[in-house]
Amino acid sequence: MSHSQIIMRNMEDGTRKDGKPKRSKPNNEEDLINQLPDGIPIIILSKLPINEAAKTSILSRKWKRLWTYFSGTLEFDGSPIMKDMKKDIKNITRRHLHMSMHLHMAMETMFDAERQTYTSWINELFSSLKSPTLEGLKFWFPMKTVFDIDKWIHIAVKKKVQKLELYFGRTIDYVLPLELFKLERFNSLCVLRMKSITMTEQMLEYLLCNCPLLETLSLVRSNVPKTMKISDSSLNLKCLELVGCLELTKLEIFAEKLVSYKYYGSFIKREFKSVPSLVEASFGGYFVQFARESFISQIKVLKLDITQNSPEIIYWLIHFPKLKNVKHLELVACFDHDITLSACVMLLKATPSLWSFTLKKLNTTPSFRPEQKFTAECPYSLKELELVGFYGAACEVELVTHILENAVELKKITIDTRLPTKPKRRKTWNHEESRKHALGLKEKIPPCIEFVCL
Amino acid sequence: MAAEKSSIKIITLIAADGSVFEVEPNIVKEMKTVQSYIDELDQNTVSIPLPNVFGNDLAMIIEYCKKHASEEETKEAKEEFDFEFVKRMKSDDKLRLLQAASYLNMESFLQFMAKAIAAEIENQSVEFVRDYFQIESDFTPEEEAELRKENEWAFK
Repeated sequence: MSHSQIIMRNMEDGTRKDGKPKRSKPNNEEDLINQLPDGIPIIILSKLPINEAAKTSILSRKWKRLWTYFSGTLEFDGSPIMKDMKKDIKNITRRHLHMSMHLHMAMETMFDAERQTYTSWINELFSSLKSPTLEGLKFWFPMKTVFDIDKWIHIAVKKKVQKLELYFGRTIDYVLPLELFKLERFNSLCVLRMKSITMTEQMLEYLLCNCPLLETLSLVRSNVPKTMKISDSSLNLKCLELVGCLELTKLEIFAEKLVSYKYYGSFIKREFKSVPSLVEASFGGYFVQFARESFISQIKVLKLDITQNSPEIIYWLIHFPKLKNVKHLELVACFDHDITLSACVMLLKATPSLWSFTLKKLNTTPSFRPEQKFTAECPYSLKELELVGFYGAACEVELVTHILENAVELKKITIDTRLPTKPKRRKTWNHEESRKHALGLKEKIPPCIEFVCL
Repeated sequence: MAAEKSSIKIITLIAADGSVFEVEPNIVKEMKTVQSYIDELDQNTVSIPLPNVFGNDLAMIIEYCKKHASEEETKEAKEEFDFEFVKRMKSDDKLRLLQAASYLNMESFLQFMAKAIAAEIENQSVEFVRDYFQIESDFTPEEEAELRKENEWAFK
């Protein structure tokens, strides 16, 4: 708030001085930027990454200190050296298990030293920034002690950030400190994303009551209260993501404005009391009971990741009610091809109004077995089909054939052969081979359907 | 008085080059400078001179405001419009529109133009940015070297 006030004041000054039009012709050659009050260059600077903003210090004397009023988003995800070192440590641990002890320790020591340099730089940077507010703060690198973290969280609270993203590695057990939040009237938060950080019941309650602007809450592999109650009279929450929060056993939601819900994990008790706006749902992990969610019939965009589920997933898919509202469907699958194919067909049957379908495959070895056929009871309404991580296995070809036969209104097929979704498989990925298979598939497709091969 | 104000049907904006634009009141809502004129005047028809904004620029700003004031347009359509809007502009246009946004006191349009300009100077050399903003350096080479050293991390 106070930042824009500063700008406004500057702007008033500017217009008072510049009462008369300065320019006499439309395409004047004056340096427009220097006629503007300082608040304006600061707005431009604040849209840049901080290092780009700081580079403007050498433009001219006028610009020398402007960047220190930066009020944008600061993202700290480790120095490039730290990132390289982390990769090296991982590789060495994997390849040379027998001799890794000393080498590992030496590398960790070097990593610690680099982290020390990096965190000192962060602290120095904070002491030179003068803006009373910051739009966002992101800390996404491993830390060993909580001392600096507490300091940074306090800065986030003082600078009234709108977006806060926190991950300090898995070895440190950091609890989001409620007492720091209570020091200031902190109510600016719109987006909170945390990974491997503890959110206590009191902290959650505080955020839900005191941050009426909170729209996105994303907790990944974080410690959370056993029972999470997401409800408050002033709640504005639109997007809730809970991924791998193992302690959770019960979720109670009363969120009128909730649009999007993502849950990856094991079985939990759910109580969705009032979620009239909920139209996007994403499920994964060991959780298979999504067919029973009370809100499932109102969903328009459905994403399922069945890579962690055992074959029993098919049982749950059979029990899917007709999902009349689903327009976009995305399935991430990896295991047995026949299960993937059956899952696709069952989902297509359950979604009579489907517009687009995307299948992302985390690849196992391709199998090229004899062809199978499926029958559909009624034509699909599908318009667009996308296959990501395609390599031309039998089940993929069968799926396309099945859809071609049953989706009379199909307009577009996109085949993405570039990379499988799972990074570990990337080394053995034969792009050319997959592309050849994809182009072979093209011959089966009537010319009236747009075919895109990436 | 409130009733009188709401009866204003058309607002006439007169640009620096004399070109005239007639717009509905909801289009100028974001232009705080214009809005303050309207609030001061107590008439049914309002004509406002804008000596700091040229016709071409004003036409673009009005086009932007119309799109964003529309309740029928989806968020995606507005984003698509924004993308195309920036794409067809030259660097000069962006700076002039930024200045106009500042003069008209349009908060969200100002943010939008600032973002477009930031995208142009991001990852560019200091010389490029100086040229872009038409800034003459008033540093001695020694001073510049010292500043580079002071903020060494930014120039890596």
